[in-house]
Amino acid sequence: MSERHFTQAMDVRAFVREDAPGGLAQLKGMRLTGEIPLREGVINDALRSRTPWRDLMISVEDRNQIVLRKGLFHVTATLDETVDTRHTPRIRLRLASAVIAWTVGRLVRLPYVTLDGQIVTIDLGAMPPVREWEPVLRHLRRATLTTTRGVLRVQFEWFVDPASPRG
Amino acid sequence: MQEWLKTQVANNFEAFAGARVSGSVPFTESVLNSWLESALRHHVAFPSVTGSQIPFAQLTRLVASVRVEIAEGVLTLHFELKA
Repeated sequence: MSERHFTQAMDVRAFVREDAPGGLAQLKGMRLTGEIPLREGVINDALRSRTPWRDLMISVEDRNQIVLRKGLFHVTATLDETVDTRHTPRIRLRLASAVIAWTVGRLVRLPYVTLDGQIVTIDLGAMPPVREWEPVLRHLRRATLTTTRGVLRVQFEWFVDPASPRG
Repeated sequence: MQEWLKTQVANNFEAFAGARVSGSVPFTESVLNSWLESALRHHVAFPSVTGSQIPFAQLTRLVASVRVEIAEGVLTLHFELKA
C-alpha cells in the first residue's frame, strides 16, 4: 500500500476511490448480510433532502405496492421483489397502467431512470448521491425488497468475492 | 442528504428499529503491516476514520457482538449490529 494510500485509507470515500480500479481488492473476502426496515417517513425525509425528488412523496402499501405522489399527480406501481445485482443494483417498478407509463415517459427525463412499456428501471449506481459509492454497490450479490404497510424491508448480501472480482 | 443522516444519528437510528447487519472483514497480514509501518513513519493515529459520510463512531452504539479470529496471515473481524 502506498504512503498516500495509507494517509487516505481511513477516509472511506478516498479509500473507495483509490481501491475501486482493483475491485476493492484490499477488502477481498469482506461480507455483510442484513435486513433494514425503511419506514415511509425516513424514505420521504431522504427524498425531501434531494432535488429533483424534493416534492415527491412515497406511500408504502402491502404486497410491494407503492404510490408516488407529486402535487396532484399520483402513480401506483408494484416494486419488483428482486433487485437486479448483475452489474450495479437496479430497482424495477411496474406501473399500474399504460396511460400512467405514457405520462411518466413524458415527464421523467433522468439519466438513471429508463422506461420500457410499464416497467421503470432505476440504476442506483448512476443515481446521485449514491453514485460515488458505485464501486461498493457493484459487490452487492443479492437484495430483495418486500413491503408491509408503511415499511419497505431491504434484505441484502454484499460480498467482495476473491474468486469472482467485480472491478 | 448530510442533514438527513445527521437527523438519523441524533435520533440514535430509532427510525431503523429492527435493522440487523452482520459482517466479517478479513485483514491480511500485509495490509495490517503496511498500515502500521506507514502510521509509525507519519506519526498518524491508527486507525481513525475521517472524511466519511458514514458515522462510524455513532454506529458503535449499535454493536451487538464483535469477535476477532486469527488464522495464519489473516485477522478477521466478525461483528453484528442491531438497531
